Amino acid sequence: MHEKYDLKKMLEEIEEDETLDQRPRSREASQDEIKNMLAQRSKRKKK
Amino acid sequence: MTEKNKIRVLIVDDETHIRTLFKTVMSSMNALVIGEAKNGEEAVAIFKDKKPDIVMLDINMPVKDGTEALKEIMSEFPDAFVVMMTSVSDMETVAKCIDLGASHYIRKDTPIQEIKKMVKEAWDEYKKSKGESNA
Repeated sequence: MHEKYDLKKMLEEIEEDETLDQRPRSREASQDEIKNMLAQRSKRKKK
Repeated sequence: MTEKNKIRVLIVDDETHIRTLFKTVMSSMNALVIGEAKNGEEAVAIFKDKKPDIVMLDINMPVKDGTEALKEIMSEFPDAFVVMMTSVSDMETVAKCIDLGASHYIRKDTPIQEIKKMVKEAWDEYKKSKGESNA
């Protein structure tokens, strides 16, 4: 007895996995970067 | 410095040992810890009741997280001084908290002496912006 595979569905799942893997992940901010972000906000407030 | 003149601090973290640590840190800065909360919901309630000068606020907590608590506090008290004190430091969360009005954002892996320095500098700057002398 042959198993039936839904190739179309399998391909869609693979494509979906790849799409998930390629999503940009938000990277960690260093304390210096945080300091810069706070400084930029202060500048924006002063304008 | 008399107790009346001390900076009044609320410490918010779901982990008891972290709250204890920051109580010690803030007390060593001559601040008075007026409350502790283990989640965002308690934090908002204590804030409304006691109006602390500084809130040290964690992010990952049960019931209500720190960003939600920050949002609620800042919407009702736009002049609140809230320091995010957290191990969550992805750019997205940092940017969100800064946009919501956090006065500072400190990673928990920062050395204690640095944390004290950052809190003091941010507090001094805040007081200056409000036209008050340093506490």
